[in-house]
Amino acid sequence: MKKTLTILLVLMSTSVYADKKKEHRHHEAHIHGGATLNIAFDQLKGQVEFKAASEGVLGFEHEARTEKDKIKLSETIAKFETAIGSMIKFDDSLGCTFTKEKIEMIAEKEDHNKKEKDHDEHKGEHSDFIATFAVNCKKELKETKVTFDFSQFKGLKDLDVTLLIGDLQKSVEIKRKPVTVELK
Amino acid sequence: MILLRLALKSLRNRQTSTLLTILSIAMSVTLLLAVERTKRAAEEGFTQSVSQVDLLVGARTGPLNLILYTVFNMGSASNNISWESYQEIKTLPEVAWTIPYSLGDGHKGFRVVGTDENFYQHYRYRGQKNIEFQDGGPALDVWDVVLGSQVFDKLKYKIGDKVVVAHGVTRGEGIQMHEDKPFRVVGILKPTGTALDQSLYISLYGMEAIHIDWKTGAAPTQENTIPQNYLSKENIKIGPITSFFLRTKTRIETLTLQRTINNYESEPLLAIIPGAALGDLWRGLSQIDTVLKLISLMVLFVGLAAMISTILAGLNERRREMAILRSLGAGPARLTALLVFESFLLTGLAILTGVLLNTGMFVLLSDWLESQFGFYVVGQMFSPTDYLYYFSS
Repeated sequence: MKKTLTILLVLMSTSVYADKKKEHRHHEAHIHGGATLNIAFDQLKGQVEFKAASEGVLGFEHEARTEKDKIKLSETIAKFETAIGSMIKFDDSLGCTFTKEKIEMIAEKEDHNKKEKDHDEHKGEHSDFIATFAVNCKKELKETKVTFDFSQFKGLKDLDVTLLIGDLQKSVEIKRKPVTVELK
Repeated sequence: MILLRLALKSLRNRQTSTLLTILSIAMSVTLLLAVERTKRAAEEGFTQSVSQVDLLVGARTGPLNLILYTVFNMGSASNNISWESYQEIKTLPEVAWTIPYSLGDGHKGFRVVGTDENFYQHYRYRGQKNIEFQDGGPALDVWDVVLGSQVFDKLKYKIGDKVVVAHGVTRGEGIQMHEDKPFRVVGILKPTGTALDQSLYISLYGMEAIHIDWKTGAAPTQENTIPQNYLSKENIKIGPITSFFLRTKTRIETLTLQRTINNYESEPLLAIIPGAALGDLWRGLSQIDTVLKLISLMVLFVGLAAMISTILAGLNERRREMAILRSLGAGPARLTALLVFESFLLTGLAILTGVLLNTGMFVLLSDWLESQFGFYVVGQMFSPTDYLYYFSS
């Protein structure tokens, strides 16, 4: 009887464990040529998050394996590091400075439902290019203007910008040309 | 100077037609500016139906669907949010406050919202405006109900009146009524000019209490019915809710929290930034904008045509005046200058009158327009488009 109970308990705990091990199946939307830019500010401190399908900014989605791909990736990262202030241009009088937090290319998560043998075929099929910056300004942004200019990335066709500046919430859709937005 | 004196005397000589011309152009300008201002006021009113809320959270669906059924009483939710998930998110360190919304029932064509005290305390619209009562107070007890201003205007309930909620249908008359568990009116909200005016508000306990004996989605039989007086906050366990509004402690945390909620493992949820979603929705309605612009241009055209026809018609009457001026030595160039100057003077006066009329109208009527039509007259009185219209005139 004791033995049966022990086996039952072991079986039950295994099933609970297996249940917990269940993968979280979740895939975010991935739109080639599309990107999102979220900007949030509390008084003088802000955060900028840029996320695009890699194709739009790099011209490819696969892992950078060839020398050409690696150069393109490092050039794009450098472009973001040095020129983010001209892509997101706050009023000069505000004295805003950008500090890089992370810039990386992230491959889309694997579909855990697929069998192991399928993995290699689909690995790195899609990837995102993500850049995050902290921003510090000397004056508050309200009642000023900000210009978005991502025209240097020819593959970027549609940029959805969300602005959270204190209690101000705005969304802007940017196609190719630079767009200036009033923060009021 | 002599030109001005001549023009003024000539205009005074034709007082009635001058006044009528000024009035007709002024009315066109007023209408033109009013269309433009109304368009901006409607946009502000629409996009600021809810403010100071960082995230609106619901079951996973489209952002527009979530905002439509939560903020505008349009459509219905695809799923609910479990009470456990709500509690987990509510207690995250980044969260300042939340307002739960439980939907699904109605009363005589109006929606019934189950919520809690945070709704009365934290809900803001049009910037800083908070919910105010014209009579009574919030619905905090199980059987309390608060009426939106339009519900009050239409149904004429008084404080203390009984209200029976209909199960399921929120538009039109319900088919199954929670007749055994009526609510009591404890408050009436002041008009807000938003969809808030078209709802009734009960507590989450109240929403749960009317469904407590409904098993497998059907109304209870007589023997299964739990009497109203047996139910109190202590023996009611709140279940799933439809959506909730959330305020973070800082805006930077909003972005992180939005990501956390959208990737929430226990339950598929969607968190959106309401201001941004409302802006997207308004852009989606750009056809209205085009129609209004077309109306504005037609008004401008009619106004200008009226001015030209009045001046041309006046020319015939002024033959004698012209002849006298010619006999006194005024050349054709001077007469043309006089006519052009008169036209400028008329147009200038008419634009000024139109601007004053338009400004006065919006200053005097702004509160009424907001409460009755949801037009939120804020921001600059004149937009760049208005200046373009002046220039065109």
